[in-house]
Amino acid sequence: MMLLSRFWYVLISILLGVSLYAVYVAVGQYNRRNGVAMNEGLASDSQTVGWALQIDARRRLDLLLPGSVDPTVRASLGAANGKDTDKIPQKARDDAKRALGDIQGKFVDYKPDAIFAVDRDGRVIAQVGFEQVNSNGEFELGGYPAVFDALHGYLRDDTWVWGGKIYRVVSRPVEDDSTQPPVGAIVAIRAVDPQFAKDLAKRARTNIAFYAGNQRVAMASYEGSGEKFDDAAFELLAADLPKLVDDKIYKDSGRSDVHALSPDVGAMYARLPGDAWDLGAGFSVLRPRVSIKGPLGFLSGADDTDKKSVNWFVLAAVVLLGATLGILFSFLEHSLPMGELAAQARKLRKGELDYFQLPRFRGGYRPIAQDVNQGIERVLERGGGAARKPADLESILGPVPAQPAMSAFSFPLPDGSVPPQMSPGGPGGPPPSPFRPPGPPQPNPGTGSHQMRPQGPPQNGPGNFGHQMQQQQQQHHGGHMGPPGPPPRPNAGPNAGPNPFPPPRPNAGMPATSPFAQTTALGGPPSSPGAQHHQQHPADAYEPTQAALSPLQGGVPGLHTPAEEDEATMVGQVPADVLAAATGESARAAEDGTEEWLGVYDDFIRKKRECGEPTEGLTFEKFAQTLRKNRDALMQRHGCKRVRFAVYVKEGRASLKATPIKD
Amino acid sequence: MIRHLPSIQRSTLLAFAILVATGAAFAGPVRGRINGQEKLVPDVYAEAAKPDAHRYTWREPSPTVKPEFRVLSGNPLREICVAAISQQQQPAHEPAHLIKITGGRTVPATIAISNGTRLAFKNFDPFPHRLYIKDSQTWRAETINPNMQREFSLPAGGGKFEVRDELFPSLRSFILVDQFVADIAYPGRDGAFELNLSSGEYVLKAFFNGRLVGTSAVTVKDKGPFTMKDPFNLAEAPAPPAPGAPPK
Repeated sequence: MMLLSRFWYVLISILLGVSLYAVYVAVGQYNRRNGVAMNEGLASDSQTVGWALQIDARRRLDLLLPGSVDPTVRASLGAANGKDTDKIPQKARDDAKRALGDIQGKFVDYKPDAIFAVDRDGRVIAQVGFEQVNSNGEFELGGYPAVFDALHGYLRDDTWVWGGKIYRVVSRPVEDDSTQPPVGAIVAIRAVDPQFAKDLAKRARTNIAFYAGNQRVAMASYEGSGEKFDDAAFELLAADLPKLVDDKIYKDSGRSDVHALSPDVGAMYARLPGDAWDLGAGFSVLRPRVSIKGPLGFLSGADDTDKKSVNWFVLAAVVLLGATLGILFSFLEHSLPMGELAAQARKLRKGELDYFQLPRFRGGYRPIAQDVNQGIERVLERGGGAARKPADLESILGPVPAQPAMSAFSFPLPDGSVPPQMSPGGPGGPPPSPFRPPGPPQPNPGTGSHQMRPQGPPQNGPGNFGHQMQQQQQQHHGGHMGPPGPPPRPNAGPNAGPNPFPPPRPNAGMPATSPFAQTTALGGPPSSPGAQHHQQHPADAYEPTQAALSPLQGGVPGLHTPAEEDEATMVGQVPADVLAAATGESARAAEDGTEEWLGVYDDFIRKKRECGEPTEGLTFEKFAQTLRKNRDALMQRHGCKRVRFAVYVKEGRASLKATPIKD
Repeated sequence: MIRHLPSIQRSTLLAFAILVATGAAFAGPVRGRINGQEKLVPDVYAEAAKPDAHRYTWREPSPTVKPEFRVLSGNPLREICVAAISQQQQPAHEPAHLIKITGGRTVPATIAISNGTRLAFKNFDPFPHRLYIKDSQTWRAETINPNMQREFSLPAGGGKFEVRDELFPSLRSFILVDQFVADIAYPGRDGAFELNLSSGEYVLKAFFNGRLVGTSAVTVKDKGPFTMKDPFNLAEAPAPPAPGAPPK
């Protein structure tokens, strides 16, 4: 049936299906978790960048302190705040410019791009770093809230957008007299350029882009994570920035939800504080979303580091184990029985076997072999072969030689001759089975095929039914190959032992044959060599179940009830002279407790005569001797206390039925 | 061009122009001093100082600046416009009145002018501006590149116009049109101002953030100059009671 192999295939298929399911689920879960992680990462990045900008503003504000207390700057601003509100002294401008240059040069970190000195009216009296207004005397800064606050005594930061460029601004008041308002303010600006973005991206460890008015201003990717962010993803912002106008969360809270720029890139926007808040300026943090398209995506997306984490030993062990089990199962369930079939077929072809040995087959090969065996038998029957008969005592107990010296059932005829059919080795013996070449038996316990080999006269002497029965049992068990028969099914009665008489198998209706059925006449001539010489059916001989269920050969003790007559052990024909001789042995029979056999003997003689069978030479002594040996064999075999014999007629012939009785 | 001149010269020229136009006798400068300007806080800066305005991340007072100096009062020179309102209709001023765009605002931020006067907004910043009049369908936002200007002709009938800049939220300027405006002046840091008026009776009005914050009557004699004895007190008008609020 190849159950193991099929189970293995099913198991492999189930495992494959489960693996695929797990991989699909893993892909979905991986992508979902990555999406969540990306969202959380973007929120964290956005917050981090906001904090970094705060820190940046704080540092710039603090570093501007020296400029706010610079004496030259204070003096210049004081001079600019004179009574003449329309003219700023040139000296004040020049001094302030030099002072601002010195101040800017002292910056090591957070160096501003430009520094302005603003008088109380908001006019720029000097600046460094913003060359566009060098010749512009009208340039002012006083209208910006940051400068306005500084002129009123506040430190502040701001974000301006000048001409599409973003500037981070810090301003401080410049005080000359604590009893007076500040004389002016000092303002430092830092353009948000790629370098600024790069520094910020490095501090915040993220990819960042600044934008103003739906236009990207500066961007930088973080390269410290080992995976280079594709700068082309920044191009996706151009198409997404206009959508911020409709983003209510962004407009209200200043920070958007995650925008999917593409299936692989997410972005989160945040507005910059300051004037830029109302000018649509802000920053965006971007993160790649690592997603897997399908189960194979795990392989295509893996790098050498990922592959190094594979436990190749376990993987190889699993593959090896799976392959080994698969090969083993196919060997056990296919190659092995196929080889057995082939081997037996070769033996069959060579004549070493007459039938397939069914016990050596398993699964689907056994019914095939059984069919072949039945086919062989059918061919034989069609060609005049032996018909199957019910198993009688001889078929169970073994061959009964015609010679008295050979068998208890071989009763010498009054004339001292031996029935030809009872002398297997003699000239008058029954013709050999067409499947049995003449010759002595060749016991081959190891193969279990000896029962099919030519069976000459038993070598263990006459009356050795125990050995014969044992040998017969070995034959039924396939020699010594197999273990004893399976345990009998429990009997219906509570005190009953295991029932050795299970219902017959489906083909049990066919008359069982035995090699000993060739001597069915037990001194009488065979009715027909072809018809009377029964050969034990191979199916019966090799079917372990059948052998185990046989009451006498199964090696299983049990009771035999009359209702199971068909399954009861039957004794075939007993020569009448044996019965006659037995009549003189009543005393011995009484000693053996076999007085009841006298009645059996009488019944047997009567039945034989009624059936027209010869009874010459069948003495009671021989009859009792045969029954005794059978009884002993049965008692030894089944552990019963006694054996009851009964006479009945079957198929026109007197027969004996032995019933083991335990109590 | 008039804005490039000192205030006294500007006032003189303006008075002369009015004299020529109206035929009135030039009496001389009228000097005065405003008071209470430190309490006038521009709306845009007051709003920007609020934490929820998202205009800053750091804003803290300097510990060395006294609290009275930390009041976000407007700059009189830029924010407070003192206008002399005549009893006679005044002609349009020529040439166009120049308004500078720089520093996140316009200079001046508030102006009162007579009908028909043209205003020229000139950009003194090195980057463009986009000025527009709030709620106006005719003077919408247009880009004013550096050193370029854009004119605005005051419509007849008077009114108040608020000028804003799309690119600079801190820019909020106010134009007050009154056909009786004879002269305007912007006080200096000390609050002093000077108007050149012909003889006659005038009403001085101070405008701040587009609102009237002070009114004073003045009569100009034939002989000048005239100096106002009392300071011109400025104060925000009390806010109108909220609908349904009990009267005080």
